[in-house]
Amino acid sequence: MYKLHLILKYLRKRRIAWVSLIAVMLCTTMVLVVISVMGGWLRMFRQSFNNIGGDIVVQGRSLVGFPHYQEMMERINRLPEVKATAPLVRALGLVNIGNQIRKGVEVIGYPPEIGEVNGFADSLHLRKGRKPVDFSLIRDMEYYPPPGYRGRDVRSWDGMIVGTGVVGLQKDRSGKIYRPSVMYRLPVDLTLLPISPDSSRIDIKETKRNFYWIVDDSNTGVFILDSNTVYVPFDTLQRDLEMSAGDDSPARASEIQIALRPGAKLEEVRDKIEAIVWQVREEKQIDARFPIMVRTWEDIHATFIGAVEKEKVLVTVLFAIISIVAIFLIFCIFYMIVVEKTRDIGIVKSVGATSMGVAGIFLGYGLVIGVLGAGLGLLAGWLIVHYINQIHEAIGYYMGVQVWNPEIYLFDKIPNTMNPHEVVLIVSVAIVASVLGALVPAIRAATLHPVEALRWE
Amino acid sequence: MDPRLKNQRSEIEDRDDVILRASGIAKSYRMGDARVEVLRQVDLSIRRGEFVAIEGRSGSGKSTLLHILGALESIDGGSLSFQGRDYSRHTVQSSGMFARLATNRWTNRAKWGFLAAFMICSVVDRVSQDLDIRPLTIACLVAFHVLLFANLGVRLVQAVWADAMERPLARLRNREFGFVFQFYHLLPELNVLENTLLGRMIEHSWLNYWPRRRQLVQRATQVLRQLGLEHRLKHKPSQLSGGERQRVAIARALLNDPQVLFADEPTGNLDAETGRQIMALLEALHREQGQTIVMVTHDRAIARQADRVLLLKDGRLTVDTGPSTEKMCDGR
Repeated sequence: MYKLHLILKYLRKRRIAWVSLIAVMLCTTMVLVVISVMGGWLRMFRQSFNNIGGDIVVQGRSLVGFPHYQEMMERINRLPEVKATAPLVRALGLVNIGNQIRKGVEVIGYPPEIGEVNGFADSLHLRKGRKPVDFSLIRDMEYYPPPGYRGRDVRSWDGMIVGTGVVGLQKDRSGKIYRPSVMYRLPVDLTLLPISPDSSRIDIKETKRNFYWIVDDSNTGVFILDSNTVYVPFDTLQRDLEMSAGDDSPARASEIQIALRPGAKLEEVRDKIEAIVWQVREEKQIDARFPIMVRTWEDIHATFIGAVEKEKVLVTVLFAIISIVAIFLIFCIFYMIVVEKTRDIGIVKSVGATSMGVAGIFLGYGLVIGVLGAGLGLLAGWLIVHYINQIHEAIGYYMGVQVWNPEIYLFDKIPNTMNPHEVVLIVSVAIVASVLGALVPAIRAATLHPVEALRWE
Repeated sequence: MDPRLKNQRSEIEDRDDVILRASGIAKSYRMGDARVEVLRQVDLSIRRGEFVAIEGRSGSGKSTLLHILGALESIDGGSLSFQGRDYSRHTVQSSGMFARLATNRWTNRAKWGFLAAFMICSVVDRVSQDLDIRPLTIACLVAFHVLLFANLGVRLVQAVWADAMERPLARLRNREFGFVFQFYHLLPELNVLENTLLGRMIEHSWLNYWPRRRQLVQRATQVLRQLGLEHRLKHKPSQLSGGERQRVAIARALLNDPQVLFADEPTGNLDAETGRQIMALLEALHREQGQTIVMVTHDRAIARQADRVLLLKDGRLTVDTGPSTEKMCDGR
């Protein structure tokens, strides 16, 4: 009973111990925030890239894509692990949006069934979650033809979905994106560069121009995609790039995205799909002009994921070193308290306390400091992580500092979730560290001779 | 030994109500390279209900003897028994060669020396292009850690071992003995009531204490009231006078109904009037409640208030006035 009583008394009266409590709290907060942001970033990265790219991708390694993708899809769909497949076409293009925005973009042609394969449908604003994905014009919207196109049937133009960054949409201070209604009335002039597979060099045929109306915007959260990508119907893009089936050539696609059923093993299915691709390749005699590779989404982003994981480990190690400094701080403060309380230790021993009992006072003291410090650190860490985007905006607003640059970190939003496993681990380590910091002073207190302690000056 | 002293001692020892017995007690301290013998072959018996004063000059060993009797100090030789039970064997003995080596002053210096050497080697290793002293750097770091953890481990084992050995002594100090010190020795963070209850808090675990708390607080308040401190229950020691602090120390010692009350110069830090009050209090405790008291003092006038006075000179008991039957009470 005396241990608890003295621990609580010392906690209230010895203000110097509050320094160690604050040290534990700050360390816990710091590590929690850093690990949560880094871990959250990695998690967001994995989720987003998995979400927008499917689980496995059959990629054409050149800009001309590869033929016989329908046969490949048909066979791949027969695999029990496969949930859905969809082809897509990728190209580089130039856009002129209402004579206001002119820039180079990546153009992706999506078929309607893409909604079954990746999370593109969920990134849309007006057609959020709508499957199959459609590029139809907005009903009841009045489209005015641009100069030089008066009298033409502008409603026959295809719809285009733009990345939010392409049209300069940004989040306001409350985190919402303001979309001016005029945006959906702007014509987009898209210029494409079809490339012939029949030449030994990059042979750009004459450029293709086509007009589109913006029918929706996509916000995947991946900055590099949202700022640089426009989406058009698969068939239109395939036709404009001259990748459609001709008299003597089969239709081509740039990629086949494949979604797997839950529980399927990525590497195993990838190997099966690779076998199918090779089989089709041999059967259809697809030549070396069309290099193809099969990769999981992890393979595609391995370099980046590896770098982020290493960065996370590095930051964890750095903060572990800082935490060791905190342990030393606790050690020093507790040692000081033990020296200062030497006579009290003698008194307690003279009244019948055992050596372990005395050690228990200081270990318990360390434990309470650890529990309180880690608890307060958890609270502070949670508040910071939860409101990190608002804090970041406030810092930017009042101090003009932008710590989180979406161009570097890929996402426009700082991750603000905590992983329960990481939280439990960090809090436990903080508590154990506090007890360890108090261990040596506790041993010293325990081994003090009662008479020598009573005579301590 | 003086034959008269010997006869008196054997007369006391023959009685079956001896509560505390010390025979052949020897104690020495190391001071630098020299060894100072503080107690030499001290034999002593104290009867239940007796008020014994140990008188002697400063440095004569009287406080050491009191600490030894009160199980606060270990002995080099001899034996101690309380109510016939030996408690001298519970003192901590040598910790072994490895332990001595690990906690040795030179080992400690070597440990920090290795750390310093590691730092110097690290810097030299980085700066120098020609010297390859990495193995030496690693060796210094390993040596430092080996000594550090050996020292820590030995101290941990020592603490556990000391605890196991001293547990019976701690129980004795908690339940059978009470202490009143010259400098009061109250915990500054606790108030008067909490200081008084300290022994009881140590005796009971958290679970056992709470059901009895009201009863224990009542008992402590009663003892403090008897000592005239009922209006000071919530005061801190720093808010009390010297005499009041000493009375709190007496209350703390009395709360566990000790078999023996040890008082180490209880009036040494008080003015004459307050000192007289404290002595009157002790005398009343002895007379009215039959409390066995062993008191250490250098003041002859105070020593004379006891039933029996032992004179300690150069670590030896030279005079024992013997039990004064007219002053001694019948015991409890």
